[in-house]
Amino acid sequence: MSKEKVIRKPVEKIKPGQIVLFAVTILLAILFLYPVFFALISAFKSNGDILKNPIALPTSFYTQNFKDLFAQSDFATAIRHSIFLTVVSELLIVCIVPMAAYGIERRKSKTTSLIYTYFLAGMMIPFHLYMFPLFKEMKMFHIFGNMVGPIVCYISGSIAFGTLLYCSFLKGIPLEIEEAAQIDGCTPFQTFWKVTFPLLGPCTGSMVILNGLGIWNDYLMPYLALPSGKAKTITVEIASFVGQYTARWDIVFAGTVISIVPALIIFCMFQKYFVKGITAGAAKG
Amino acid sequence: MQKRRKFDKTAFVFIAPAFIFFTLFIIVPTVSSAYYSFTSWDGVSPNVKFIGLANYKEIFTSARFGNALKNTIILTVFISIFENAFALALALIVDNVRWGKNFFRSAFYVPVLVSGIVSGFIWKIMYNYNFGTINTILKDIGMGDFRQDWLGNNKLTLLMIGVVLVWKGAGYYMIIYLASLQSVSPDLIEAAQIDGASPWQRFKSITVPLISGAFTINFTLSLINGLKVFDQINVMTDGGPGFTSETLVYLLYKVGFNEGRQGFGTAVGIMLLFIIIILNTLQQKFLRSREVQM
Amino acid sequence: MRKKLLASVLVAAMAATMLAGCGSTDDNTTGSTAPAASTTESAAVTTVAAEAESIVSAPTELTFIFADGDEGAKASMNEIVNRFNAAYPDITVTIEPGNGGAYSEFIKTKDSVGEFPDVMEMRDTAMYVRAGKLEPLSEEITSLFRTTTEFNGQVYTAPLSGENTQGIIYNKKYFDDNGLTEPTTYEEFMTLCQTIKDKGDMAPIVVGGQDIWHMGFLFHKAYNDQVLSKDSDFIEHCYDGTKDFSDETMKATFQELKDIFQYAQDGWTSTPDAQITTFLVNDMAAMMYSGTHMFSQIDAADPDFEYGWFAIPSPDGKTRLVGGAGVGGLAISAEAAKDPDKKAAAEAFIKFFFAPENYKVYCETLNFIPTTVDEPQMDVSPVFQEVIDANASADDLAPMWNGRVGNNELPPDFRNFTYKTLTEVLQGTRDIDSACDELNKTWQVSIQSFNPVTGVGIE
Repeated sequence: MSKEKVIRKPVEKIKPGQIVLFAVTILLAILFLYPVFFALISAFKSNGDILKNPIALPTSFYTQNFKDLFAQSDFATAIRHSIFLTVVSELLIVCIVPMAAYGIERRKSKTTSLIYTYFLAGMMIPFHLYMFPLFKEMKMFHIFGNMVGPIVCYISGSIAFGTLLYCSFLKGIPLEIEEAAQIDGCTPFQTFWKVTFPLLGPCTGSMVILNGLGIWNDYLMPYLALPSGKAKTITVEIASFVGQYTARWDIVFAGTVISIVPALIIFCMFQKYFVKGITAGAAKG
Repeated sequence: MQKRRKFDKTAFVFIAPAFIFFTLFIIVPTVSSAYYSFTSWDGVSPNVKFIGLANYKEIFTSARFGNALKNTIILTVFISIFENAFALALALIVDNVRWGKNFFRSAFYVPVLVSGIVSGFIWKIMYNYNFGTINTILKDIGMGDFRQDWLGNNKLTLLMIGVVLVWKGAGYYMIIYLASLQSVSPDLIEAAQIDGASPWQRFKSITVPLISGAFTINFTLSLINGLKVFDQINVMTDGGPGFTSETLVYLLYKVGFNEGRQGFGTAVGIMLLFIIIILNTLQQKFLRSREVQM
Repeated sequence: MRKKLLASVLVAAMAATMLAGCGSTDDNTTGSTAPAASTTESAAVTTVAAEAESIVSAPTELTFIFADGDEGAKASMNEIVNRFNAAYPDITVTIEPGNGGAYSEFIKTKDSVGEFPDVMEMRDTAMYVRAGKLEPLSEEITSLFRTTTEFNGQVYTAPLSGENTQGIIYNKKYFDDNGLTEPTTYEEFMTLCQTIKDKGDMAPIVVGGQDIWHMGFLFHKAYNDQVLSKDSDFIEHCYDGTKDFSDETMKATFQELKDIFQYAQDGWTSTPDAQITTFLVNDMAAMMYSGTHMFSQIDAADPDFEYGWFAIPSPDGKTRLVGGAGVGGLAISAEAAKDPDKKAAAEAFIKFFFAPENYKVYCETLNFIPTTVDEPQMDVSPVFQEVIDANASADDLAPMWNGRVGNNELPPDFRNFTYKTLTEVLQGTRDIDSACDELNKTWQVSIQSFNPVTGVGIE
């Protein structure tokens, strides 16, 4: 028999515990979603309305904020920049980081342990501490004031977290598979990319989502390091509407809504990686 | 054994690109800035005067630094504990709830999608004493006496900032717990079920040890991120009222950039770095020994 | 209305020319009376567009950075820059707005990577002057203004606007309905507040205590009343050690603030400056104490709302206002000025900016008080005109206590520390004597790294 028997679970009776759990979950979901819901409804209200009646629903489909957003800042360019920065950074990160973690985890020695700690230390350094020398260095390498600089910084900044994540997950990948591949004649390179990497699916998915979001939402780096005179990224443009004396919250929330939508879509797409059974199936060999 | 040897050298090739990026763009600028911690530089002037350890001496006698340290520890401990507690609980809930798993998984993750500063903006309005959501709801349901100046009341400020961060972060860590829960091989669970183990026993003996890897990551991350919180404080309270919510990072920022004392600010940053390293090392030693390799 | 406006502008111009002293103030303090020059300079500026001769030897580019974020800043700057580029075909000014909230970091970053702008809105003037990054402005430019700020005898910034004058903005209808009138003495003001409080309809004053700079408004008023009225060089004396913050006048300052703050609304520490408008227009408070940036906010929130303005008199009967030129303004980079073309272009740009027909755009959009001798004819509300008039008639017109230079310049962030300590006093977590002690302690630490009198920190 080539096909495995598909065991279909009979539809279980609904236990009371499950209903309680469901109710609790709904309640929690409401709590977690409310503040974002607040941003959503505020995007369709005028500034004064937001401050005066924060919990009221918008009385009409008021789209002026969105129009103002695009009119008063080059938001379309900002969107393009945000997408570019995030996608390119993540692609490069996925090429560099898992490999490094593999090298550390599969070749356990004093040196690699040291390198692991070295990388982790990077996570602990607050950005504000090395911000200015970093910019000077970027200028030296001619990567300040263009898109390359932030990408390089994002890659560097993700190594710590990425290594932590991948090393921990690599522990969950049985060595037998890799040894099998090596016996079959694969080079370490092939072993990694053809055998191990696919198994790291959920890990890669997690990292890309978590890390990519950080890039998408980043403020300080794009604000200070992207080219002058043009729109920078979504988050920077949104924040530009909060001034010293006044703030256009209505536009801020309109921008927020636009910012969340693609992030949410991507997240939903990547959710597939978390489906139970993929890794389990592979582990069976 | 020959294959092992081959990998010995190749391993370093694997590590190289990451190593180069990391060293060049994280470590080098940090070391460079560390130099300034021994000066009285204001951040702009071409004159940089070396003053040795004077900044560090000032730190140890500064009440403001002590206050920032205290605030940082309180906030970080609160965030680490609650982010992880919620994240694990949410992961288990999503894993076990019968209907709408996908929806709930997304719902709990949505707060992570907003940027740090926007989360600050939203909650600042919600916490507002006069028009904020919380107080308005309390008033409407007849509990008007419970209304508080959520951010303005010294005793509540740090707590309320913590709430925002837990709200924003729980989903993030939930994802990691979920991925870990999902990669627990169902075979193992089935085997245990066949052996007659109860759900709790299964959880304790199989799931917990195998997600310990995720636990390590999450606790490490929440600790480190907690120590570096900036955006929300900047937007919601600017370190106030008074100095109630001024953390070490915020002190670095205020003194280093706004007050024209970049030399001193950098010294604060270096101290913060040491504190983070120490805390993290302790925590790593404790947790890594408990991880299990399949 | 127009006639009245024109008349008051002429009066102001005449008054300024009459006040013209024989020379510039040669000490380091900011002057409230000015070395105003003749108005022929500004006349020349307005005809510059007709000149066919070029002022530069080759096409020149200038980079211009300013702080954005507040409504209209970018729009008005763009307008003026476009006009300039059109009038001077061989000079191109490229503009880059920096977010007002993180402006200091923005400029600093530009500087640290070698992209310091040629012309900029400068805020941290003292620091950059000491670092030698700014070019002194010529007499031609400084003579355009009623008052300017000097550092060691030189002027480095062309003041963009009069310092934001604060005063009470009140609900005119409520006042009229209840027979309340603008107070002419400090006692009358306190009685007014008490009357409103007793009525119970709304809070007497709404305070935006969440924004630290808003706290500064009332602090400065009390400080001005109690401390500066008796010793305008109080800070200098604190530097040289002859006085400290346990001084009776300091305690009186805290007391005056406690007196005023008993009339502030509940939850004032949680209310941002931007929200006090909502209080006023929704009958939740009768008065607010803030700057002229409020006018356009109130108009936007409720176009039909009637409001009035008055300055709170000091306890000793005088009227003291914040106004006149501050330390900030448009500045030229010293590096850029080494290039004669850039220098000429930058100077032309600044002169052009302050020409009445251009400056008008800036001041009107942002509701700022003009600083030029040749004031633009502004189309402003009567209330705003009242503020402009008050500026002219005040007994004392000077920048805020943290905007002074020379021996009265505050150490970095001392101002914030003071406001935060003040908040503690007002919230009841610290008594006045303890607050003064804290100020002294922090002062002692601060002056070890910054003391203009002894020269520390001012290499």
